[in-house]
Amino acid sequence: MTTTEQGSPPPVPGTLPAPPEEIAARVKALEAIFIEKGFVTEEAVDKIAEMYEKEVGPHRGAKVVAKAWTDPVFRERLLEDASAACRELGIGGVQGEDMVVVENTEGVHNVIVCTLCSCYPWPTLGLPPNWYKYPAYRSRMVKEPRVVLQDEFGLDLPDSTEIKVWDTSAELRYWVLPERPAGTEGMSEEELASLVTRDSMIGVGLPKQPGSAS
Amino acid sequence: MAECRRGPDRPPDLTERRVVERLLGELPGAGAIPRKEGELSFESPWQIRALALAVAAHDQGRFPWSDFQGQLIAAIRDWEQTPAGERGEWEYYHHWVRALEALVVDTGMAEPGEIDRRAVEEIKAGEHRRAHSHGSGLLAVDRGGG
Repeated sequence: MTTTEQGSPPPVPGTLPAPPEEIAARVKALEAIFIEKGFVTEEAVDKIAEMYEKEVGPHRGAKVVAKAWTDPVFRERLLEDASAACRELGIGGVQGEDMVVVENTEGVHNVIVCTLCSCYPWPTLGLPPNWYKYPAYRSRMVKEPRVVLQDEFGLDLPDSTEIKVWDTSAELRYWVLPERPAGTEGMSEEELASLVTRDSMIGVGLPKQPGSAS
Repeated sequence: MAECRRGPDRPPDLTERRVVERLLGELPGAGAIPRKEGELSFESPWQIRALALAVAAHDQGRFPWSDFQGQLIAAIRDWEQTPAGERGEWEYYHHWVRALEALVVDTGMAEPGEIDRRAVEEIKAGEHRRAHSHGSGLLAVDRGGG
């Protein structure tokens, strides 16, 4: 079959400038068609994609966190306007996504979820882990965050800690500024960044402790 | 999901980067693939999905890699032959997506227009999500017992 006999030219991005959301939609469309028709399994695509997830994060988010831990002025800017603060470090979305950083403090723990789909602060965290997209995570985290954190993620927070669950969306992408671990006073930004995990920025985990294997 | 018909088991080393690297090395413009410190680098998740989709489909026997290679050569040539004012910026993965789309239509894996239609649906679904602006922020608070 050729594409030119069908009347209209093939609807491809071609040489024309295409807005990023259009390209992203085309790739989603291709993937949906491939999976529906059984050309590939979602697992097979995930398996390859996961190898590269870290290329778009979450080391970038870790860098932002480490800077916020060491630079109080930057931290303030980050909490005020995360998108702008991240842009200072050359980190940004394709367009439109505004990031909001919520800060963990003694007594308050934040966690993010996307109740409707799988919106995720990918400019800083990379691609979402698979479980983030599962309906079970999305609905249960809202209903019983404390139980989910403990049972599913092994995160045992003190009873007195308040847990806030934030709904992240296509335009407003929340992520978590975890608390700086104790005993990290002399560490450089780079060393600190190595303690920051993806899960700690979603809010289902804590940063690594200094001295633990990285 | 439809049962996936597969040939022989996929090579055990599929998930290793070197397999992807070998496939990429056979493509035109291999030197133009965005990299940082030697490793593939991506700016957006869709680029990763597009890469993974082509590699996975080839791996599951949907098309020989040389066919994809041919389509990518054509896509890049088209871009090069288009006057600078009428084409987008050089973006390696745009060519990648275009090549994959052309291949999919040429092999009959999708009807002409099918990808277009689905892409419009995806965009609408995105608009719908935005219109229903969830992400209103704070959803739930567990104040704890202490």
